[in-house]
Amino acid sequence: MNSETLYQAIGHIDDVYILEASEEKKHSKHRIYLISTLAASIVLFLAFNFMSTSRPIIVINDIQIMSTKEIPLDTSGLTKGDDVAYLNNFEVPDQLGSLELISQIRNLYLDDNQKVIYDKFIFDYLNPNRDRLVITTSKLDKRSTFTYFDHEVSIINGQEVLLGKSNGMTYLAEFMIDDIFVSVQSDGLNEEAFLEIIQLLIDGQ
Amino acid sequence: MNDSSIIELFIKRSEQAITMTAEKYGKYLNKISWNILHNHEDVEECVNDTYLSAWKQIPPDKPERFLPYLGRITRALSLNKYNYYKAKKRNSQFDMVLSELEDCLMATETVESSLDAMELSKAINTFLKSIKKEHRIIFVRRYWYSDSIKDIAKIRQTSESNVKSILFRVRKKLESYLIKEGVLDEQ
Repeated sequence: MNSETLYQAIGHIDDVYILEASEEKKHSKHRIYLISTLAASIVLFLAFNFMSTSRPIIVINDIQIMSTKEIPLDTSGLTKGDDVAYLNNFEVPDQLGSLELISQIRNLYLDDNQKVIYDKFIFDYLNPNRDRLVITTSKLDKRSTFTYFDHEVSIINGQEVLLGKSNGMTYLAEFMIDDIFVSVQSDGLNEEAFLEIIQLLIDGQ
Repeated sequence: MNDSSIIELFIKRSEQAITMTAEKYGKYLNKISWNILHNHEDVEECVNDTYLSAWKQIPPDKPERFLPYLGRITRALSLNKYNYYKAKKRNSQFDMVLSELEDCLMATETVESSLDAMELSKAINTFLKSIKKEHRIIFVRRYWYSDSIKDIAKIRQTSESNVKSILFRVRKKLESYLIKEGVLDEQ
C-alpha cells in the first residue's frame, strides 16, 4: 500500500465526518470587525475600479455581440485575425520572456438575446523547463482566487495588483484592466521572473 | 434553496439544477479541487465535470447528504487529473499531503495486496470515531479536504505548530491502530 491508496481510502470516510469538518469555528468579535473592514475596503476598491475605467469594447473573432447591456459594441473593423485580442483593450503576447503561448481556451456563452452570460478566456504558457503560466481573463466573473490565500496589495507601474504565493513555487496575481478581471498564476517560476511578467503584462496594456 | 429541492430539480431533469448546485456548492468544490491541482483551468474542468457527473448519476442516485456526495466526486476527479499530470509537473503542496500519509506506512512492511479499499476505509472510520472531535476535524481537513496547514490553523483558530503536532500524533495513532487491527504488518 502506498500513501495514495491511503488517501483514496480516506476519501470513503463517513459523510458525517466530512460535514463535521466543513463547519467553520465561530470567529471572535475582533476577527469579525477585521473581516468587515477588509470586505468594505475590497468593495470600495472594486467600485472605484469599476467607475473610474473607460468602458471597453469586446472584439471576438467575427462574433458581434454586446458584453453587457451598458457597453456598446464597436462593429467596425472586426476580422478573424482578432483571435487573441478578444477585448480591444487587452491583448496577450505569444511570448512572455522564455514562456511561449501554447494554448488558448475561449469560453463564451450567450443567452437567447445574444447577451454574454459567461466569458472566461484562458491563456496557457509553457517554457522549455516546464514552468507554466496561466492567464485567465473575464469581464463578468471577478471572483478572486485569494479567497484561498493570503495576499498583499502592491503597486506595479501605477497599477494596483493583488499578489500572493501558495506553498512551493506557485505565485498568483490579480488586477483589473479597464474593468476586465485578470488573474495570473505561475508554477515553477521564481518571484523575480513572475513579477517581471506581471510588469510586462501591465506595460503592454 | 435546500438540498432536497436541488436534487428534485436533477430528478426532473431541469437544467436549473446545475445552476443552483454551482451557486450553493461551487466555492466549496473549487476549494477541494484547488487544494489538489493548484491550477485554475484544471479546477474549473473538474468542478464542471462534477456537475456533469451529478447530472448523469441523479437519478438513479438520490444522495442523502449532497455536500459530501459532490465533494467525493470532485476529489476523485481531481486526484485522477493529478495522477495524469504528475509525471509532467508536481504540485508541491499536495505532494506534501501524500508524503505525510507515507509516515503512517513507515514502520510497516507490506500490506496484504488483497486488502479491500472499503475495508481500509471502514477501519479508518472506526479509528476516527475513537479520537477527539477537534483532532478528527483537523485530520479530515488535511487528508480529505487537502487543506494547507496554514488554512487549517486559520479555520480552527489555532497555531500552525499546533496543527502540525496534532496531525503528527493522529498519524502515529492511526498507524498503531491499523497495525493492531491487522490492516498493516509491523516491520
